[in-house]
Amino acid sequence: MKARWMIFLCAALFTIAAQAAKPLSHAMPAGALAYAEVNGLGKRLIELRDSDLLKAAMVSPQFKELQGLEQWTQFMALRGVIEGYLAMDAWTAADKLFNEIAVGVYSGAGGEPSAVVMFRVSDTVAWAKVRKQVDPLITLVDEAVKREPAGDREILNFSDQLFVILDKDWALLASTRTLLAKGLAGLQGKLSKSMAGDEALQQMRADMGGDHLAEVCLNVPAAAKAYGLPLELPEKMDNAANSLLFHGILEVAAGSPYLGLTLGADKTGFKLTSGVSGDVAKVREKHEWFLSDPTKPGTRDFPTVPGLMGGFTMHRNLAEWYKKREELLTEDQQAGFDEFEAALGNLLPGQNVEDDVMPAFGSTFTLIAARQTFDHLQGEPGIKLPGFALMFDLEKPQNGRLFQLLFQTIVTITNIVGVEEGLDRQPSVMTAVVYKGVPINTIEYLKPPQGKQLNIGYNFVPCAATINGRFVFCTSLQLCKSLVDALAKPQDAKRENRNLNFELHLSELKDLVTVNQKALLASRIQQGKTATGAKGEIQLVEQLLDFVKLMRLSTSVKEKGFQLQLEGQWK
Amino acid sequence: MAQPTGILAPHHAAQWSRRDATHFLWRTQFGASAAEITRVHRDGIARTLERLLTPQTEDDEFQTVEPILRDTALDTGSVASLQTWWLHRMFYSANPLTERMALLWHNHFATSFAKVRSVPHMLAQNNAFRTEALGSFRRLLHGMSKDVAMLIWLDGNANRKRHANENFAREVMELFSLGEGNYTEDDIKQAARSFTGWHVRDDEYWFNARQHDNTDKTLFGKTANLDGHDVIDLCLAHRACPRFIALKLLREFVLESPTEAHLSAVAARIREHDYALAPVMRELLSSKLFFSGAARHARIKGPVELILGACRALSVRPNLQAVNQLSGQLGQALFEPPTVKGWEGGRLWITSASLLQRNNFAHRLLQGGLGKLPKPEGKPEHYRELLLAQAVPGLDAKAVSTRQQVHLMMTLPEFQLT
Repeated sequence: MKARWMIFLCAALFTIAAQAAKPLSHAMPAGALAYAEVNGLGKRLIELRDSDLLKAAMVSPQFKELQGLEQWTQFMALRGVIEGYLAMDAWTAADKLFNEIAVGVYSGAGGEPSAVVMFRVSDTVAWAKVRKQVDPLITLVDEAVKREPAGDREILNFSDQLFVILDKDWALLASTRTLLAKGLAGLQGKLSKSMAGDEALQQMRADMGGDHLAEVCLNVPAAAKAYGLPLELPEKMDNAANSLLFHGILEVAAGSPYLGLTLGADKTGFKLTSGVSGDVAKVREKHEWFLSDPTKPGTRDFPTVPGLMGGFTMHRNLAEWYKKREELLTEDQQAGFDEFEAALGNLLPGQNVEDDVMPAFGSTFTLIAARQTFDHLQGEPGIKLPGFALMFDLEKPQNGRLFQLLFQTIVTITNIVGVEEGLDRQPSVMTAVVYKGVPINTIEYLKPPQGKQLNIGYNFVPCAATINGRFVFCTSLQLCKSLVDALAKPQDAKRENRNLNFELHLSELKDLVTVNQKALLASRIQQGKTATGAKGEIQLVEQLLDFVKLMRLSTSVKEKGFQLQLEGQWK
Repeated sequence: MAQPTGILAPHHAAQWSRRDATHFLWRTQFGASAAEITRVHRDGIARTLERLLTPQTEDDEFQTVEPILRDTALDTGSVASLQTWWLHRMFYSANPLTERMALLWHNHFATSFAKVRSVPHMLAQNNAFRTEALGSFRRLLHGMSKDVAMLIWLDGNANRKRHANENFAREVMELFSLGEGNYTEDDIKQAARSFTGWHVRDDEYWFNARQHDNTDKTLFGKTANLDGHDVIDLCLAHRACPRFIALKLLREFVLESPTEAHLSAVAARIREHDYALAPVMRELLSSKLFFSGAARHARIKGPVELILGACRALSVRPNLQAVNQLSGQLGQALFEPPTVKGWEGGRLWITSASLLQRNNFAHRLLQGGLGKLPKPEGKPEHYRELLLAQAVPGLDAKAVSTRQQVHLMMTLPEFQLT
């Protein structure tokens, strides 16, 4: 008999525990156009509170300036009042009370949106105190708030605009009685259809994972239907740059059941991901030039050159895009291509852009920036910029000659224009150096400039080379040589699948800020800052850059969708 | 040395008022703050002039910031950075009269970055204006004849003994020393031959002896193997030269249309002081003429003077990039005068378009668009002193708040004048 009771008790406790552990999506009524859920926010906020990053920000001159504002004083006064009522500071309140939050937005009557907000507290004792503190306040504003009994609970009715129930370990807010009732049923585990069973949300979680600090899911077809928004894209785009950057994404997004957003964060960094789902294979029939093969890495990794500050790389088959331009773009965009062809014709005489130039490009473009030295000068520029390199795959190695011609023509024109315009820059002569068997075309100044404050233009020493099937335009001979070394190495076959990748390596950027501190100071002083204020700002930037190792914005083509990620890695 | 008399006799110290102090400051620096007016009123004219005419030590902030801005102009090679460097000097230097004089000489020896294309050369020329701002016009004129920016601007390297280029010789007489009507075309030809071979090489002045005309030239009745220095000395000795410089000083500091009597009086003092500028300025700025009714509100503020002056009056720490852009829009881009004649100024500063822009500037300034604006406090009289330095009947009744009063003052025709 005793054992039977024990089994029953354990089963009951397990059921309660299981119910309590379920995410709030199980309590949120189904049918939301948009759904957001946050889990574990308090812990992250406490980590932020204790971080060196926040400490650095709080001793910065900008923060002190902020503290001097009237609005800041008002904000702090309000915070003081709230903290007084809560009997705890804001950080603790966030940790104890707002660890789990869910918001659902629904299409209400007449198209007006209605919403449900629910949060589950992690510290019921603290929550009980808060409710006790808040209760007299509600009594004070009695005329605006009606107390309505609902079983063993109480509904706070704010002028029929907002309905609130505060329970032992949760709070529920809804803009309509119907949603309130459904939300209450959800929190009691009595809801037949919750957001946890929502198809769009389920698919989003399947595609993007379900374990995040925060997630947002927009049901695209439902939202479009509710607000009468068209889901079909126009047959042709009216902006060439947008087409080049977004066309494929938009095509996938237009057919997606959801638009998802997730945020993950821990002590190593954060990851913000946005995703859409769609039949990528079908979209690739028209946009293969844009969408790389999901089973293979799209772009190349950045070459590992010393002092890499960052770069941008993307997969685009320019030849295909160019060939399909009349199919992809509206008529008014076509004139721009004619002008482009005429201008390029001056630089590459006798070459047809569509048939000769565009097919020469492979499908990957990469731009990088890396630290450079100034050995080629008898001095150095006052403002020290990194070296830049633009690389692209060559469809055939012999296509490199075409781009060498372009390079030589541009260098010659630059020389002539420089003299004509009386620019403060030495004339240069073309020369070539061979590094590890790779010929690099570059320039030498007639007289190597001297001095520690050389014109900013001396940061740029144009170079061009064909390296391992890729053509490289570069602004630094040193970087060009580093690329000869780096591009000789084979690519990692298991590298991440990325359609586009933009990276910043912040410790190198910090060095760039440090060596150019004077120019940055000048810029802030010119904008009206004092020397002390400007120095403080730059120190803060340096400190912030010190906390972050890498920032990356990338996109990737999946077999069933497309994702965009913003990542940060802390040091 | 004889003391000035007549219109240049000293203004009576007993009559020294706050309004005098405001008038004095708007002419000798770029606007005036309430504290500066109080100080000048308290110190009196003699002590204030002594301070303005004697080099003052710059404060720590200025000494920190000035080289940063200068180096950045050199590092970037950008004229915009050079412009903001000078605007900073104009606004923050403890030697504001020097900066005003430098602006006068920049306009007098108008040289533009648009052709010179070199920040170091433009900077060097500007520093030369500053060095001689209150020094000697004689030295300044000699210096400009070998100034690299000037030689590039007026095609010095094209001036060769077989093909004398007259650009510099013409401007020396027409724009730098004598003024039109005081020389002949033959004088220019003779002077041009004297400057042959004054070239630039490797970014420095270079006397190209092989291209110098070593034969005799005849100028203003003197025949000899003249060189450029001789030409400049002959110009300085010409009776028209002190009058020409007097005209420039009077227009810049006193009134836009000086009379014959004004010119004669000031020219006599310039001659008396052998082109030393500090004593001339001391006499001019303390004269009865300077404080006379005819000299009050008798000049239209130039764009730089207007913008920086308003910022100073309203205690705005200006965004110099924005000031620079605005000044250019109003027709005064520093280091980029429109022609060899510089900015003609005066009534030409005001057009229907520029007047609208000047009014828009007032609005922008009061919205905090040029820098944080302290909340206007105090009575309208306070702002009237700062911005108008005169009474305007009916002004008080037209606006309700102090800010509106200030805005209204800045859109009055009187605000355009100094």
